[in-house]
Amino acid sequence: MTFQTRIDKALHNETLQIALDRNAERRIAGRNQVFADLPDAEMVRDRGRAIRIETLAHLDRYLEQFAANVEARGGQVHWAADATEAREIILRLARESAARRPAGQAGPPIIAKGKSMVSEEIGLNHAFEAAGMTAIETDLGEFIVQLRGETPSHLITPAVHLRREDVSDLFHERFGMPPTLDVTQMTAVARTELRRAFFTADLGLSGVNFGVAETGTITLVTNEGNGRLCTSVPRVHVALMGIERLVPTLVDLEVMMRLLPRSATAQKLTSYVSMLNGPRRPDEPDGAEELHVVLLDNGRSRALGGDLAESLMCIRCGACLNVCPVFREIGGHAYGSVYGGPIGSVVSTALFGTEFNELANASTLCGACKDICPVRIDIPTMLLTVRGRYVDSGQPPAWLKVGIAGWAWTMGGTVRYRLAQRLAALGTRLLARNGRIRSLPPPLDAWTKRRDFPTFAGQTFKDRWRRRQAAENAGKTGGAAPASDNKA
Amino acid sequence: MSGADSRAKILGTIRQSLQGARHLPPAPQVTLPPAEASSGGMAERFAEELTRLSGTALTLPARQVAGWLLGVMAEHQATDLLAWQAADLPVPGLLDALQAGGIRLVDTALPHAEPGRTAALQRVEKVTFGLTGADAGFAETGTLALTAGPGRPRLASLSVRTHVALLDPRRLYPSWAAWLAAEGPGAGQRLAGSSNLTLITGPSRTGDIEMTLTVGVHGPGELIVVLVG
Repeated sequence: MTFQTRIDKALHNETLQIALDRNAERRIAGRNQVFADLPDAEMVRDRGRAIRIETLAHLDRYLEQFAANVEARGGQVHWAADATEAREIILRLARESAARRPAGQAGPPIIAKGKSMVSEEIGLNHAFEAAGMTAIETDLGEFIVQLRGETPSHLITPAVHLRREDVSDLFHERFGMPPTLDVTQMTAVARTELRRAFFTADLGLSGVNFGVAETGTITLVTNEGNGRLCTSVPRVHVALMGIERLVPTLVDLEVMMRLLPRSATAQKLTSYVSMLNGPRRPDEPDGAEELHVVLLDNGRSRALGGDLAESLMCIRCGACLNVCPVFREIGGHAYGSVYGGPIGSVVSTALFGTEFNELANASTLCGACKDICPVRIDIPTMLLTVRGRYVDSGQPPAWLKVGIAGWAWTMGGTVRYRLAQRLAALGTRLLARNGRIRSLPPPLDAWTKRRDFPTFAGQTFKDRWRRRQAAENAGKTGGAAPASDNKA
Repeated sequence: MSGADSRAKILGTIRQSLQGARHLPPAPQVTLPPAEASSGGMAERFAEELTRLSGTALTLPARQVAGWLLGVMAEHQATDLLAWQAADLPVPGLLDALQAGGIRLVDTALPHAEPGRTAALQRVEKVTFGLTGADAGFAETGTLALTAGPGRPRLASLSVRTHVALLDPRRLYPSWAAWLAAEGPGAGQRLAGSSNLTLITGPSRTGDIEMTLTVGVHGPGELIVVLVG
């Protein structure tokens, strides 16, 4: 399915449109309120930006320091150059974890999963499934999306494309819940279902919001508590993180944490900020016995040297999605990438390559993404860079090239230009009803399929200017010109 | 490819990419003002913030805590408790008093391996009440800081329905930043000595269905913080 087709589908999906409308405004208002209450907010954003740049500028050093500290505290570090390698490492760890079950309870590994966009990036759920393993998403939104056989449509709220009615239908069908519009009741059903997962899983898998280089700390930012359960109850905890997701110190982490929850969910702090430093110590009563950190590259180290390097500063708060006028109409799935929205359009190209270049076209370049980004990533400029690549690599359809050549020819001569103005005014007026054109023949229907086209003015600017000048001159001869107007 | 190869390859590509680093923007030069070490009315502010998050905060003299807690547990029809060890609670003799009141303290230590680990998990999973101390409280956000350690199970603040935390008001700081500053240089290394430092800000919550706030999804739906006066 092409990007255009996916957009068409999204725009005509009534359920999605209702769900997106119920989401956006409230989130932006909440985010603005909680930033207004943050002392020195603009300085904090600058400092956050500086921390991310400093981290990336010395990423080799911080990664080595982080890995050494994870190991010093008893964790194990696995380096994965690409998605395949990361999947192989995790599947092996899952097999090993199930092998440690009590006698007589053999069976395929059970994995309790916390929210992790990187796991979506490497297609981990498919890999688990193909290997005959059971992986259960434990974040409520991810759980819903998994039950429906879908992928998340938003970085922070994976089920944002669904209405409460859809969730009710799903839980009714799967768990026999009586149909309801009461979200509390739906949540209680999910809690009961997922509780079993936490307490029977062989392995807990989580993402990582920030790794701290100076201590080897893994930070998880959650509200539900599923992240804490995934990392505390199963015997083995595997944390999967992109190599760029570091901060140098715990003090830096605190600064980033003034920005992340405020931007993501309009909270000063999330219910839980869990900082994990190696596995359970011998004298501690609970916690995972083994901690494995999987460091995933998958294009990041290469992107660091390219002109989209700034996109690696992203802290995955999702704020740019919420403000984007395009995302708010088409939702996350239409992008066809794990990472959608403004930053996703850049990240997808930076990490996964040219096939995602056209996502950058789905932008009005209004700049709202850059304004709201907690670390002020210059997304619009990078979107333009990607558009440049799209054109340079010959990806646009042929008719666009012909059209632009035609336009250049028309604009290249005075007579042609004037003639075109008259024809356009006449032509558009013939096609219009009530001043708007609702449909044009191909290839111009690319425009009118999604929006109306206005008629050209009957009178050109030059004509109007000439008439105005003539009128003024006529007035002057009559002595009525204002005293100040003496330049003629 | 082996792990060592990938490590070398990843670090090598990063170093190559960073040569010149001409695509990274310059970092803004900015120093944040130091966090206020203390401020007036921290207990009130803490309570106000926690209440806004649908948590509960109250102040009780140490000698009244046992009686109050017995009452709350009776109200919830709970007799089993996951608790931190006595030495880490700011109320002397509390656990003894609770036991005398009929409360059963569930063994929180999970065996490191099978057999026994699964059975212990099943036992702990059923407990609905948890009691902990706290390393610090942050007034501006209504946050508790808890470090795991010997006699300080994580599950006491996590797998239960109701989490009661006892906080010595002398451990209140205006903010997380203030706490880190007060801990001084080397705070990071000291805090990372525990396998888990958790900041808890209100009950477990979710907004995943239409952004409708719901508490108690996986963690405790009820959080009660007692400032022990």
